[in-house]
Amino acid sequence: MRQQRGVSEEQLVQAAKRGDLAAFNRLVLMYQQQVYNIAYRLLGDPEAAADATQDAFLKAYERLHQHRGGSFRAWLLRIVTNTCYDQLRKQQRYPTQSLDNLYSDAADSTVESDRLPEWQSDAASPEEMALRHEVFRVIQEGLLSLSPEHRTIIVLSDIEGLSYEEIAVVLNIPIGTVKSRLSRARARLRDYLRTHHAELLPEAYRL
Amino acid sequence: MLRQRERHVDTETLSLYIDRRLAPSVHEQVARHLTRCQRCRDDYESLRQTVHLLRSMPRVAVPRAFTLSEADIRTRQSSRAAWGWMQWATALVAALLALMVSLDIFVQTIFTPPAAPPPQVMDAFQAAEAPSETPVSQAVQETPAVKARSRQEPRSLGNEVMVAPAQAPVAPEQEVSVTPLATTTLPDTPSTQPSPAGPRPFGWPPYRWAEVLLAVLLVGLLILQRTHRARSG
Repeated sequence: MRQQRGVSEEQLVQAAKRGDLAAFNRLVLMYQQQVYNIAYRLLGDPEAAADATQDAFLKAYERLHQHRGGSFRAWLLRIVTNTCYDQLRKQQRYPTQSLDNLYSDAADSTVESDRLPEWQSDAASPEEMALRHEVFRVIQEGLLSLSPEHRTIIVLSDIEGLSYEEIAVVLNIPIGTVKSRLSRARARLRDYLRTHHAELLPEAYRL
Repeated sequence: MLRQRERHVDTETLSLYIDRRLAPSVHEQVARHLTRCQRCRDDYESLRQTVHLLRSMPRVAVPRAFTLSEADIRTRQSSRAAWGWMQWATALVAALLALMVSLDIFVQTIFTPPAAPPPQVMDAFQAAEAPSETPVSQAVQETPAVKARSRQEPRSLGNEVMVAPAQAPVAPEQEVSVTPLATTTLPDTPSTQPSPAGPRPFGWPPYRWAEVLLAVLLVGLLILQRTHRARSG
């Protein structure tokens, strides 16, 4: 990932800073999957996620001169999360679709399964696939029930697999805050599942 | 962190335990506690399962490539340039308007010669004064300029008519003191004034019209900026 055809990420960043658009586009190709996934999980809507992704890359290209060393990915993901926050704020101020629509969009089977080549290709029975699909829908619904802050930290940590240290850089918060916020967010999501979909949790914990 | 032996494990410690981010000794302690305490074990299992479900969430495929074209960047740059231009224009218009209004007031209050005020300037000034002045026309302060105006009454034209008839019966020599404050409200209220019956219904000097124009332009630019901000966040 960091090394592509002999050119390091750092070299691409330096080239892009000098205005080399092709170099920047190689960075885009490296990170678009992750950026889009984060936006999709945060916004719960494919269209909004695509807009946010495009916007984030444009902003990144414009602000490349502000990137002073350090992890390019963390710097990029900070732009992405901020772009998504802006979008969420705008959605609140100028709601174009209700929360119900947001949920059903995220839950729309054609939308989701179209975009899931990985688990579609798994050798699973249709029943099993339907069940998994239902589980993912429920989780996404649970994510959207959280505050943007809690949602973000869960997405970065548990879905994207970032380390505490990298999350601290992305969100510009101390490690201690990462730990406490992540634990509270997980507990909130667990409580949501317990209330709405207790069948997903271990037997002993069900009410 | 893990408290005394018989205390339950808090959520943050459990969360760190799941991520293996506890010091080895604490990790051991938690592990031992979990074997003994059903409540904490349930707590842990449910949290672990939640994290497990999240980690199994599938990756969503990108709908398209997000690579940028030269055109994307140009569009963005030109829209940013337009935005920057708009902000400069707003500042410029505001500054120009402030300058004109203050010059206007300055000329009115300081440089009007008491003996022969330029009728154009006086007209405009009093037209603007009219709405705010009439309700308090009983005020007793006088200034040389105002006295001069009363004496010059026969010479004055146009909007002067609006002020004079209302005040003439009360006390021809008594006028409101001319305060710069009253004049600051003038540029954007031409339509609210009673339409004068004089021979020059729109007898404002050109610069007064320019002030109104600038005020309208300023309001327009501010509205444009608001809508732009609403669209682009």
